[in-house]
Amino acid sequence: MPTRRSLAALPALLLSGAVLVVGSAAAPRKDERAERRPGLRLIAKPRKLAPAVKLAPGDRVERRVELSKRGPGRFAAIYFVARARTSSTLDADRLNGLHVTLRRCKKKWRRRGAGYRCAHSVTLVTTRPLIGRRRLRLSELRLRGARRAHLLLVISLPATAGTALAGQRTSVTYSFVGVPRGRRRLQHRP
Amino acid sequence: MSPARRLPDLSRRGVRWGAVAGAIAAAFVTTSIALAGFSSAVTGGGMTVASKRIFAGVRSVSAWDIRDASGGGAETNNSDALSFADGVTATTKNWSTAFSATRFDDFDYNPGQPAGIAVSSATFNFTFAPSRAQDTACFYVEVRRASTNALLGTHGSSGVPSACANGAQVAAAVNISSEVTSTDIANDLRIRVYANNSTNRPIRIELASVTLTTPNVTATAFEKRWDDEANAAAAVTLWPLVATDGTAYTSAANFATTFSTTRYLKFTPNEAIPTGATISSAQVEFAYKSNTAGNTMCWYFEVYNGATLIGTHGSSAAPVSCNATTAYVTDLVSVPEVNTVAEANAVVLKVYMRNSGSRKASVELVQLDLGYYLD
Repeated sequence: MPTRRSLAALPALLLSGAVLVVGSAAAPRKDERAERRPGLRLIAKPRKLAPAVKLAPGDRVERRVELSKRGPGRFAAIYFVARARTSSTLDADRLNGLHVTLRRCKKKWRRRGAGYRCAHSVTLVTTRPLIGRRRLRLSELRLRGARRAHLLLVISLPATAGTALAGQRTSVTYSFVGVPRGRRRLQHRP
Repeated sequence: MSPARRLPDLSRRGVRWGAVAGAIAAAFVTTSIALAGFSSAVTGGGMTVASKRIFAGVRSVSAWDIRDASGGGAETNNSDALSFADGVTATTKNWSTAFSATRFDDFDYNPGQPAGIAVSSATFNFTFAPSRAQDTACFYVEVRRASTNALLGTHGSSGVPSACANGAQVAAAVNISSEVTSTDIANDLRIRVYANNSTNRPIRIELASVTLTTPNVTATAFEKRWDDEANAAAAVTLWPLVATDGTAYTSAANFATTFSTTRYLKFTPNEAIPTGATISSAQVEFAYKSNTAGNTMCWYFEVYNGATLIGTHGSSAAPVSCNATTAYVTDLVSVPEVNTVAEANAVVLKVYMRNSGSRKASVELVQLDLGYYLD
């Protein structure tokens, strides 16, 4: 009798096992920076941003990020995600800690002094504490055709940052997640 | 036969279908997650963000080392007796043979370190001896917050003191690192010393300082308030020069009616700036008056890096200021020549004074304000 019961459940177990194996093998690895399948792809350059060190209260650092898509189709939504690989009070203090602002320029950002300037109109995509509690939908961001999104990632330490934030170091992993049309909700955790 | 084997066929079938349904549900969830991975495009990268080790700010320290040549002769060491192991001691009131909760000495500290920095080690340096060679004295300590008197920890006890001195002087070092974990605490620190004496007599204290080590610098904190309650009655002695609180240092002798290079007061601020720091501003605060009403006191000063003269402010012909009143006058003088860590940590202020009635000087405040940061 126990043997018969086991045999009866075997097909279902085999099916789920197979799906698990295939799914695990095909799903993107955690550290994968870009979708590798030949379909719609989202590409951000550069992948590694220059470190921002010796920040003092009131300081801001700017990093250019070029966002583009490859492959057929369009994205229904693009999300910004930032996670702390190495955390400190710089990211844990949501009020006085690091903030991030994303700005978009119609053309490439041009270096001017220590920062960058946009010769055309600038769109504020988002601004918030660097490490958000949830993914942030970039409602102002559309990628059409081969056009790139010229983004400026501005990391700032508020002037109100107190001495408790001195001598701190945070390592951040940032991601842009594109959800292709037809999928209204983000389900994938990068 | 086990109870499971006694189940009717209907129940066994239910269990089977339950297992199948569960497996299908698991497969569905897994597939959904996997397909979600297929359909979202992810891109991004990494970045490291770090802040300065010390943010820019002005930190102030006073002087505990005073060399007095007001009389024009050799310098007199009028430094704080409790702050240096220089053979100069301070004597407490009488202790009892037994420790008592009401018999203690409080020492308050503020080393003027930047706030919010972790302290890796802190040591209370206590060098003491009974007042007579044939006696024995012991002590143990409590670590407290100066502002609230809140107890942070205890080292030693009445049963097991931190150290005892059998006649001869003993230099004890009490590790208080477990309580003094940040400069916030170090800048608001009180050490309460409970002591006894085998013949109900005083003890002599050579040194009662605190050594702090942070990732950036090692600094020594000197007491700014000493409350001697050895006999269970308060007796507070404030170190002058640290605040405009009416407590002043009086020169050892009278100044002359004219300036003289042999008549001066020399102050050494207790500065501890970390190596690599950038100094953005430096200023001296000096509050003074004549010790006797009706006389005018004037001053100018020189700034030394150790023994090397690096700046002069005012002169015998044009003093920094004069004060003919009975109230203290505070002067703020920029000293831009102090712009390196080496200079800041070795600053000596040599103050020349004159008094219209050949009287003593009364100095309420000597403070060095340094603006600096550390990348």
